[in-house]
Amino acid sequence: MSSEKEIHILFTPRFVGERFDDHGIPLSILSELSILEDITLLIAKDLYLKGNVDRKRVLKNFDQGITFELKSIEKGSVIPTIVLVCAMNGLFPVENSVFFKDAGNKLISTIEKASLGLDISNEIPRSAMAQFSKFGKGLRQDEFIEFDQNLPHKAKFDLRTRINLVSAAGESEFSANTKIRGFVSEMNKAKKTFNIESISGAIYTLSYSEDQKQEVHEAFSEYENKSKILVEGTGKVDSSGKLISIEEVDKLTLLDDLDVQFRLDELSLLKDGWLEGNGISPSDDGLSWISESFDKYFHPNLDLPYIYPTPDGNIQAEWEMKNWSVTLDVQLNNKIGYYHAFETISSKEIERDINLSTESGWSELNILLGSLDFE
Amino acid sequence: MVFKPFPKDEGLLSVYNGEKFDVESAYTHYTELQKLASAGVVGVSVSECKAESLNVIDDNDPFDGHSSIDFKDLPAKEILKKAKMLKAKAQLRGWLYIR
Repeated sequence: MSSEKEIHILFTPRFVGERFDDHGIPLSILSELSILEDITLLIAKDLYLKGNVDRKRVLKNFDQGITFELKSIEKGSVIPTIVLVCAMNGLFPVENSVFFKDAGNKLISTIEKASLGLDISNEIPRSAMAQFSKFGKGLRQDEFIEFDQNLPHKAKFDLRTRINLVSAAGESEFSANTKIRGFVSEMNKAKKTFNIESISGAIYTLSYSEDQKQEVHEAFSEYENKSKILVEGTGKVDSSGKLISIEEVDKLTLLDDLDVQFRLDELSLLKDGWLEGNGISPSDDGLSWISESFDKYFHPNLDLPYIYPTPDGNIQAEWEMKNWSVTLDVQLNNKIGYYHAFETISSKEIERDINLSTESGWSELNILLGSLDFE
Repeated sequence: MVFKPFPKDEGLLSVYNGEKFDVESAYTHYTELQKLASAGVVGVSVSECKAESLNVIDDNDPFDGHSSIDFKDLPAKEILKKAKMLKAKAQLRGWLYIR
């Protein structure tokens, strides 16, 4: 075998979503790219066996001389280039490299079919499809990957495609990055486990590491005072997205009493008729939007508001600052907030309609609230 | 907001008459007889309402001891301001009963 190598571009997946607009990939997602190597290897072996029906198994050194490398990250939104590096055997690349190149194409055509909801049961081995229970878990709801710009549907890999692939493998559960807010209702120091009681009332038993012990203990000892905690980790969800279990805890965060996301999660449980038989429940999309926007744009040095639902299916945020009584009535459908600050001693008032669909609108809100300290 | 009437109230904010209910029995009546959810009890006096030009009507309807603070015919912004004034006064008094 010579030191010459053949380089073949295997995948140029385009990551689409706000997080990728700055042409970077979060490391957690980058690490998932290695799963593509495992999948491609499984498909290549399958193609080899289909092309060599007299063989029961692949050769022992099937992938010798073949490596996968991340070559570069191109702009727009973000396109990592994954190449197959094949050692040369004389003038030609190692014999089996053809199966890996075909496997790459097969994988892309299977994703295209899965994205269209077509039958993929005979496209690639089940073991390869099952790997998608791990690949893509870091993608958010509104993010996706386009594996091939030249295909009609661009081999679009999103949550739906992932579900189709995993389901075709006969799997009913798959991994997903999970955030869950709740209370620590039990702690078992001997087993190093704790129970988290979610806002919806579901209880999950999780393991904690030594460096997470303090947060668990603190939340547990303040359970009666409803001390809130956020668990981030990897969970198992079913095809409807419902969380079944939490496999691994990456991060624990004790939350403020007025944590906005926690409160909005609570409001998501409201049903129509919540107000003495009247009262429309806020929409899930609206709550997701305001939750993400608050997290992203609300200045961390400002006091958190109390948040209430309004009978017309919207929300109201309230702040009490010195003698100022401040309300922000947010229309979830058009993302307009009516800001009203009233000074109860002098009757001075400040009001604004704020467009909360823009970053500048949130800046205006931050400035208005911040300036009340100096009024 | 606690002192702002909801649309279903048609401008009349339901309250318990402090002369006929103590705070605990008001809470019990609201949560157990009316089977409604409540975090606790806060209160304002009739004179505090009148200071905001809000009439208090002892209508005793739908039960004896029911009163209404009259926000009728006020523009939305006036309702908001008066509700904030009542809330500020109630806050000075603090929680009268907590679940």
